[in-house]
Amino acid sequence: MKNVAARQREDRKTLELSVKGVTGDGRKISLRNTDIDTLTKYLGQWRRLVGQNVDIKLENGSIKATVTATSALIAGLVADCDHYAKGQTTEIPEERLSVFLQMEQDAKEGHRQYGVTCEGRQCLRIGPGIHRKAARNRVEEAELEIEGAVTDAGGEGSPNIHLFNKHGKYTISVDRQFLEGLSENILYKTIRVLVKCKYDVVEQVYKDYTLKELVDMPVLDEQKLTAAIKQGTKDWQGVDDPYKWLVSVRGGEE
Amino acid sequence: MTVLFDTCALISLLNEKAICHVSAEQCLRKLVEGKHRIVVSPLTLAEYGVKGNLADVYAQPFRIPNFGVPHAEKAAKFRAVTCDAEKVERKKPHDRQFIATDTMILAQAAAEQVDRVLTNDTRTFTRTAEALKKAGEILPNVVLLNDDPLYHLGLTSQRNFDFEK
Repeated sequence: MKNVAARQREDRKTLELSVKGVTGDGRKISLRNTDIDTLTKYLGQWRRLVGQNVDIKLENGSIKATVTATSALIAGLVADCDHYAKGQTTEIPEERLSVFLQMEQDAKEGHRQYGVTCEGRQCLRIGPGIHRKAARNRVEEAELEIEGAVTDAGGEGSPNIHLFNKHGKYTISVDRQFLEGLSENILYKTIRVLVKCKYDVVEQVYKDYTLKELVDMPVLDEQKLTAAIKQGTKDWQGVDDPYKWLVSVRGGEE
Repeated sequence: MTVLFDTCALISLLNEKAICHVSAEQCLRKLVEGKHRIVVSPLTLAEYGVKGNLADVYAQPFRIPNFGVPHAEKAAKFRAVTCDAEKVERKKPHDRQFIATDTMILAQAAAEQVDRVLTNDTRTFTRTAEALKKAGEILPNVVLLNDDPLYHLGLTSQRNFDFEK
């Protein structure tokens, strides 16, 4: 009869976690050309996926780690990878989900591709342009102000305007009357709008924008500013350093 | 460009005796002149209203976005980061290196696509922003009222060396 230690050894499986991408000068990222802070970050994310008491071995030539752990742990992670790919994010433990979401954000911003492979099967790929199914039922109503250049306006069935800024392109539904009532052509002009939208709590993105109102550009009313400063100076008498006052109101710094 | 006035900047603007009043007023004027979006968080109103008259704030060309679910989600995430950092940086058991309101204001700024945050808090606010950036969070740049803010906001290309200490 096999002893417990032998059974435990047999019960272990391996899993491969990887990051792919290129450096600023076009070379494939590897252990050699990645700074220690970034490596520590990757290792930290992997530790949060598999736990602290698990063997993680970094491999030369790429940024890859081999994890050796119990079958149960590996099976759990593989199942969560599947849940994630299918958009069933409510099935994933919070800690692990937050790592996946962080990887997704890093992938978008840093053009990296994260992978999880188990016994030759790629269980998960997170990278720019790789979309998982959106999770449902975690959407909240929100409002957002957006400033951007109008790149398109119109539409027969569902009128909308397209706003473009450094954060991306926004398609905003509008009433037909809004477009008909415009006194000037807004095409290619920069406008500021307040929109109603949905905030996807899981994906942490805004979507489904509907125009609420156009926002006027700011105008300074000299009289109102002068009056406010006069009143403010009276209200804040003795508070020459706002920081010190604020610290006392917030309960002290140290 | 979108610029957020934090509580210190707002008090400095409306209190003529405050140390950075002139800078704050100059920034407001230049931002309006450039038709930039100027934002104040409702959390700042909650602090300004302790001593000041909120009607004076509403009379200025500020946009005051609601603090809603997206902001709360981000604020919780930011606070978790600063709690972790606090454990590392704390020198005494009860040191408070980071303040929750700072993380909430920064969270709102990040969610509202703010480009710059104007403050004269060189301590907890700046420290919080640095800790969050170090943890990989994307944040607007913090511009200090006592360090040539017009230049750092990109509203002038000329450095004002009067700010040099």
